Order: sequence, then C-alpha cells, then structure tokens
Amino acid sequence: MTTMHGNVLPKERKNWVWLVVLAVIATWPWFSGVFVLHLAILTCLNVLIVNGLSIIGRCGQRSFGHAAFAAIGAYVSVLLATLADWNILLAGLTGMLFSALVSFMLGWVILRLKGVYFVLVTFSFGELTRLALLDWSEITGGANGIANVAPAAIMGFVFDTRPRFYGLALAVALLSIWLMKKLFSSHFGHAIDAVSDNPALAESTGLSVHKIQLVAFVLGSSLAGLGGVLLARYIGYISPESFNTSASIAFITMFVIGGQRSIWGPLVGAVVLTPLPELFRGAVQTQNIFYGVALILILRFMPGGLVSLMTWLKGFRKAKQ
Amino acid sequence: MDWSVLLVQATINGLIIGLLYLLMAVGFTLVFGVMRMVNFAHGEFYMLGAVTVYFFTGVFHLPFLVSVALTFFGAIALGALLEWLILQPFRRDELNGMIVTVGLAMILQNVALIIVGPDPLSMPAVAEGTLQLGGIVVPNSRVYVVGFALLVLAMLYAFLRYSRPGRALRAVVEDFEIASIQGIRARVYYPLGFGLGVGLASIAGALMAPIFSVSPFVGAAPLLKAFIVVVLGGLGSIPGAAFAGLVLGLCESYASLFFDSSTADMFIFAAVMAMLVLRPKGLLGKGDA
Amino acid sequence: MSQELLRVVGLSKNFGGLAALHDVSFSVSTGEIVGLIGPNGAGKTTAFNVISGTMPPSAGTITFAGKDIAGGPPSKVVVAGLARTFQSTSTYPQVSVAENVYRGMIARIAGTAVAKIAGRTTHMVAPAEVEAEIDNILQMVDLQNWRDVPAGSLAYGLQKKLGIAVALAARPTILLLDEPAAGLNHEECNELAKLLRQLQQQGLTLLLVEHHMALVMELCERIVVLVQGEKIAEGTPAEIRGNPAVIEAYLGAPDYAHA
Repeated sequence: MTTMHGNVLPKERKNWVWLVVLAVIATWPWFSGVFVLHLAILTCLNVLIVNGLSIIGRCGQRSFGHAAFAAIGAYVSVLLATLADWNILLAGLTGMLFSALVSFMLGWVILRLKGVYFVLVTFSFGELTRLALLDWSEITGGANGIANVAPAAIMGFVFDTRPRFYGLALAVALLSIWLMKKLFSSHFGHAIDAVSDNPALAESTGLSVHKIQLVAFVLGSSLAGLGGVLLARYIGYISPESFNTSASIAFITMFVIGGQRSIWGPLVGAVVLTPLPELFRGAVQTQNIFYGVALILILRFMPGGLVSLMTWLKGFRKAKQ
Repeated sequence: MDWSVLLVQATINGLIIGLLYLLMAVGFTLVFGVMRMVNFAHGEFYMLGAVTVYFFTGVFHLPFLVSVALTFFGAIALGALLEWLILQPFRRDELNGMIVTVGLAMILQNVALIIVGPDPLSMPAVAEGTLQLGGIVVPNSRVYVVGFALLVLAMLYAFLRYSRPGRALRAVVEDFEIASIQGIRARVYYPLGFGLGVGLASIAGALMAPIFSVSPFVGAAPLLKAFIVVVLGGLGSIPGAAFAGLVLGLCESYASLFFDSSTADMFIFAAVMAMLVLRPKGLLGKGDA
Repeated sequence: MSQELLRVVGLSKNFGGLAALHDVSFSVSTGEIVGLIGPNGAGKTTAFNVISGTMPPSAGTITFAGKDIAGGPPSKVVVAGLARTFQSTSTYPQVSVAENVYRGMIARIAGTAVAKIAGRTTHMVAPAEVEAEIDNILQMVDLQNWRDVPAGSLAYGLQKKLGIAVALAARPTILLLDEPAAGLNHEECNELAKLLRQLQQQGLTLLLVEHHMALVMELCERIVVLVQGEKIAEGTPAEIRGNPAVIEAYLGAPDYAHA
C-alpha cells in the first residue's frame, strides 16, 4: 500500500457500479421537470460550497461564517457587472478573488485561534458582513437587495434556462470534487492532516502550520465565493438574508451529516439535505426538527457521518461473504 | 429637547436592558465555564421562558411572580435533564458538543412554532399605572420587572457565594482541573451548571415577556447579545459577564440617541472580533484560546 | 579539521522574572556527538526549544552553517538542516509508520504550497522514489517490519525510534535529540547507541540531552554541563567525570547508575 494515495484510515473505493449510478442520478434532472432541475442546481452549488467548508474543516477548524464569503463573491460580482458594466465572466472571477482576498486577511489574524474561539470569530464575521451589506444600502440596496441580476454568460453562451444552468452547476460541482480528490492525495493534503493531527510535530518537521492553514482557509472560502457568484446568476436576486447565519449553519449541517472526515461527505450531505424540504412539503417546522434530531443522532452515533454508514455496510457485506 | 430627561430615560432603559443582558450572559458563561461549551441553544431557552410564562399567566391565570418562579425551576430541571440525556457524551468534545446545541436549538424553536405558531403574542399586563420621578415616567410593569430581576440576582449571588453547591460551581467555572482534584463530581456539576445556566436564560425571557412580545423567534437576538457580552467580559468569568452586560445595555441605550442601530451593531461585532483576536480571555475572563 | 556547524553565543532566555538560560555558549563541530547534561530544571530543553526556533532567545546568537537562525520559526530552521526530537513520544498515532515518515518529508520534497498542491517535488518526482526514500529511512532505524502499523499501537521504545525516523526524514545535517533514552530498557538503550553511532558514521552531527549517564559517557565526544541555566563545565567525558563542580552539582559519587 503506498502512502501517497492513502493512509490507515479506511478509504472508500469507487467501483463501476457506483459510477454508473452517479452518472444516472446526475443526468436524470435533464429528463425531469423544472422543479427537479431547480433542486439539482441548488444541490450542485451546495456541493461546491460545502467542499470549501470541508477543506477548512480538515485543518480542524469549523467556520460558522462560511456564508459570508459566498455573500462577498455574490455581491462583488453582481455590483461589478451592473454598476461598472464589467463582463460577466470577469466580474464572477473577480468576485471569487475578493472572497480569497478577504479570507486571506481575516485568516492571517484569526487562524491561530482554536476550536470554539475560531467558531465565535467566524460567526461574528458572518454577522458583521450581513450588517455591513444591510447598512451600505446606497451600494448594496440594503434589505431590498439587488434584483434583475443577469444570467451567467461565458463567451457569449448565455445560461438563461434551467437545463443550461444545470449543466454549468454540475460541471462546477464535479470540478470541485475532482479538486478535493487531487488536493487530499497531494503532498498538501497530507500536510493538512499532519497539521491537524499534531501541529507541534508538523512544525518541527518543517511544515509551517500557519501557512498551511491559511492556504486551506483561502481555498475553502474561495469555493464559497464561487458558489455565491453562481447562486446570484441563477436566482437573479441577492439580499443580505440569502447569506445569513442560517445559511452558514445549513452548510455546517450538511458537512457534519454528510461526513466530516471524508471527501465524499459534502456530496452526500448536500444531496441528502438540499431536496429534503420537498419531502416535508411545506411542514417547515417538522423538517427543521428533523434536521436538529438528525444532527444530534449523527454526532452521537455516527460521527463519521452518512458516508461512514456506507463503509460500514460494505464491511458488513464482506463479513457475510 | 430636555437632554437631562432623555439621558435619565436612556439610563433607565439601559439598565433594564442591561439586566436582561446580564442574566443571559451570566447563564451563558456558567455553561461555558462548566462545560467549555458554546451553547447555541441559549437563546431558545430565553424563548421558552417567555412562552411558558405567557401560558402560566395568560392561560392558567397564575400570578406573575408564581409563573416566573415555576418557569425558573422548570427550566433548571429541563436543562439538567437535557444535559444528562443529550450532551453527556460531548462533555470532552467542545466542537461537536456545540454543533449538538445547534441541533437542540432547531428542535426547541420548531417545537415552539408548532405549538404556538409564528405570530407574536402579548402578555397581560403585570401591573397598571406608572411611576413618576420628577420629569421621568416609568411604567409600573417595568418597575416590577426590574425588582424581580434584582431579586433573582440577589438570590444567585447568595447561592454562588454562600452555599456549598454554589461555591463548588464557581470553583468549577474558575478552574476545572483544580476543582476536579478537590473531588467535585462532574456527574452533579455538569447538569447543575447547564440547568442553572439555561434557567437564567429562561428567567430573562420570562421577566422580559411583559415588556417585549412573545413568539418563537424572540430567542435569536438575546443569543447574539449573550455571545457579545460574554466575549467582551470574558468567557468563563461571572463578574465579567455581569459587568459587561450592564455596560453593553447602557452603551446601546446611549448610542441609540446618536446613531442608528445597524451602525452600532456593526461596531459591536467588530469589537467582539477584535477582542477575540487580541485578548480572547476578554476583559476579566480565564480559559485558554 | 572539522568546522563548526552550530555555534551558540551568550544565549539567554527569561520567562517573566525567571532566567531559564543565562549566557550559555558552546559549539558543535561537524560530525561530532555532543552531550548536554545537567539536573532537572537546568534549562536543557529550553536550550533545545530556543535553538530549534520554537521560542525566541531573550539574548544571544545562534549560528547554524553560517546563518543566524535565532527566532525561528521552526519550519525555517528545519529547512536549513537542523531537526529535533521531543522528550515525549511525538508521532502521528492514528496513521501508519510509513505515513509518519512521509509527513516528515513533505517540507523537504515540496517546499512551497504550490508544489505541495501540484504534486511537483524538488528532489523526487515519482511516487516510487518517495516510497523508496521512506523505506530507506525505516531501514536506518530498523522499523521496516512495522511499516503499515498504526504508530499509536507501537511499543514505547519503537515509538521513540519512529520519532527519530520522522526527524531524519527531513535529512538534516544536525539532529537534536531530547532524552532519546528516557523510558528505554537496557537492550533498547544499546540499540539506540548503535543507531546513533551509525548515524554519525553516515555523516550526521548529533547533539543530545540525556540523563542516562552511561550512554552519554560512552557515546559523546564532548559534553556540556548546564546547572540552573548556566554552563558550568565543558570537556571530554573523562574531564567531566573528574570535574569537582560537576560532581557536586549533578553526578554525585563517581559510582553512579543511570537515571
């Protein structure tokens, strides 16, 4: 067993059956109605954003302000395109860059905080961002937000229908998963794990804990920024409440329920939780109670998340053979 | 515009709000001090206090003081039970324990929504009439609320200062390691700390119910305030939380005379972030970052 | 003659009012094994912490291979070629022995963040070369049979060897060992002595803090003695053994046993 491509922790093996199943699930929305497409698009964007959260999570930190970086990406890209008449693609990339920049400055200062202190700071940052967006209403539109956001367009191809946008969202989501795989099997991924497992030892072997955590934080927050950019172009409307504390907590919920220690956790979490409101058909309170109960049960009995359930099932099947 | 009247009025309002913040913050810091856990469900216990008192006075027609007392002790019991049932496995696991309290908050709020519905309810008045002090007018109901709050605080102070379990609780909050060496048992003090902490939140909600409206959504703002106060005053410091709570209430009250609320709020969150980065222990707190 | 590799001049470290180190000077030449001894609280681990960059000195200079390394950070000092082990076993317990060594290498083979992400390495390109290097290091400390075992399940003595292996993964020119013999039995101690001598033969310079006097006297060419933060003697094992100040402060009667 080579160490470059895995370690002692159980590795999920993707065999062909799973890939075919995934391919079917991924293409199914194109053959269903508008509503399925809508859910699929939201799921893909959530996969992207929660993947970002998982990079930060892998360093041992929990960001309760992740939605703020989505907000920054969304607002900067929309404002550049509408107020300054920038090309949409360029505006989107710049929005993502702004998220990276802000997370760099913030991370430089706060990453040395651990555990609950980091949570409180990121939570405060989330609130601060929301309040700033409300307050600077001449630019941001305040509580009314910004409406009539033009659809995404890349080199003239406009994503103004749901099937088209789903293609874009799916591509980005798959790309983010590919990025996760590449990242965590690279030297950097192992370095992140080292920093998270034993920071003093890691530092003494030449790994700069601060730098590694910072890069992880910036990468993760940039993914959130991209998610915000795309969300704005899809919904066509943004407001400070689109990216409030509830959104940050929703991302954490997906991360935890999906699986905090696995590359596939964000995918599972987003796929399971995004369409759930539809199952509850308007009984929002019951749905939220379900979220709360699920969160507590998973943390208590299955801390590895739903992903670990599949590993357990596989082990069970193997034992029976 | 008589500035002296405005200022006195602002001071009185500030003190009332400050008392509320104090109760929330002391409870929050008690939970953090005992369990090293950030209790995201703290605001929902405030809400439960308000809703419960509404039912006792509005539906069962019990006197206000009795309702408040029932709510307080009920909340302590509920908190202790929840700690023992749900939070126990996370006593050493702050990060996941915190996420569990997020789940708990979701459950509490939505159960309340199902039972009570989303619309605000207003309590029957606690007392009629107003009190006149010079040019200042204070509704009697507020006077009663302040009186009860001060009574609760006095009782809390006496408990923490003079009773054995109270002193042990303070010892656990101030230094867990030393307390456990001295044989203070986690089995008792974890549920007690959590129960008392959320009991204080519930009493804050109960006392403020006649002043503000009652609905399942009233918990969010006090939770934020509790965070702010506790960070500024010091995570794990009861006097720090008390002091910072009063100061915040007064500052907000004065600031509202000059600034609009969102600017003031932004400034406060920036101050919270700065405090966490520069001096995570807060002004008076203990505990390591 | 061999030149000076590490030179410490006037090193002091204060914690509040307490002077943990005061005006300590010594040097280590290339290829030497130097011992740093003294009673508990003498400041030996503090000296290691300051030299390796974990904490900045209050005064004095630390020159390594001609470069001033005082103030660290540790990651930079390691990249310059100075590695250390810790008193308590320091490994990554949940992952395999091989993964532990690999993590010790990452800074060396992929120095910048971009290199780490892109997978490009400065010295080795193929994963096969990385694997070979890991095996190489494991063989040096004789841990190759435990390659895939989780580090946390190893016996104490083996964990200490793994700690050395992780430090070696950075291919340092000088290795600082903090009480490598602590908790080892007689046989394990002999193995350790053999390993350290082998490392010296392969060109590594060693500076070790130890209480195990037999090991120190047998292995070290020169010994520096610290008492309450100050250097009270320096010399060959024979000189130190006969030094009255050292005997009084630390060694006790000439007929000593290891700590």
